[in-house]
Amino acid sequence: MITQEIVDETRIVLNPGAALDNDNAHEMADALSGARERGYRFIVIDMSALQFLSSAGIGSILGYVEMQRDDGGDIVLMNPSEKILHILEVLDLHEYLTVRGNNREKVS
Amino acid sequence: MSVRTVGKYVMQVPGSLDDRDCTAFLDELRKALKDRPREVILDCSQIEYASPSHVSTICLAHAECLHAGVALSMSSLKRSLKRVLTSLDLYDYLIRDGNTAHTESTDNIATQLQDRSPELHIEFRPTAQGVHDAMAELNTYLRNSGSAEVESLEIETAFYEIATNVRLHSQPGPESVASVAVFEVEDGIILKFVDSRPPFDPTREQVRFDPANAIKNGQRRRIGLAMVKRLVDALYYERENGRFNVLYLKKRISIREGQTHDHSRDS
Repeated sequence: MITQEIVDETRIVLNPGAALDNDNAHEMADALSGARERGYRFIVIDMSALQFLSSAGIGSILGYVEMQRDDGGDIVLMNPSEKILHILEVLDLHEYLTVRGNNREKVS
Repeated sequence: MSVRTVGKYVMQVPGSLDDRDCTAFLDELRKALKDRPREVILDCSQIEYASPSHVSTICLAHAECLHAGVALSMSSLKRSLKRVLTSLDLYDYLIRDGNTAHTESTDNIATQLQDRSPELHIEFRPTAQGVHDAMAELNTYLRNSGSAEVESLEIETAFYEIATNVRLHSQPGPESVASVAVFEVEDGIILKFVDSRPPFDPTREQVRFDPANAIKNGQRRRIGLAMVKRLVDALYYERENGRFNVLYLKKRISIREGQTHDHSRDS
């Protein structure tokens, strides 16, 4: 289940739990869509507990990144483990997505 | 160094390459192509650090083979070369599109499995639970075999993507069963997937994943196959008895915990 935590009027945190795969990718897409509709510019995906990320999970996120950026916001991947970061690196997505809170954090 | 067997010509790409070496390498390739081999294999095992000369030589070799109508494969790519080719947007083009189909000769995979029994054989129903249960079994096997964490993750992820693809495109019903057999070979692990779906050859699918465009276009699909092709070192497909899809997936494994490196086998 994707949990949601409102930080303030511009930010919301979504937490997919231990896995973001074909079982819950549609839920993540719904949660992102809902957050956008409610006007949150910065959507943080808390990946601290994430142990497995599949292509469907990645696709559920990619579907909304550009839209958030076009609206002056972003989707931020927070605290991914080395394992999850490695999966993003396989597709070179770490260069194009906003990733924060890991040991190899980009300095903006 | 080059080796010729029936139909195949293996050329080792030198670890360091200057302009003179490039010219000599390509001259040798052109001479070999006059004999019309079935396949040219570039052995990249000596390339520890990929230089611009390596990249241009590989591209020129690809062009020469394409022009001659000869299949080109690349084998033993180390991570640094893969990374350089990927960052230049060449990896998917060279390895997956056009003539270059595999990072390892497909005959080599079949040869490696000859007379071998699998270390692990899992039959699973192509359902979400079936895939998860099979993956848990694979995970236990990989941990017990001492595989490095990153490589285990890559194998499990590739397994999940293939098994889920089987699940999503299988006919419902009790007859629908899939299996995966795990073989240990000298330099890695081979997974052999068998399923009873209609014919589907993922090695023929043209997938080129561009992360910038994927984000710009909100791409949600056709990511799984791109992931698999980047995670593994070889893919080989065949249709068995007109009834089963058989997909071999090879992943090179570094030294396992508890093993020592046999330097006498280094070339």
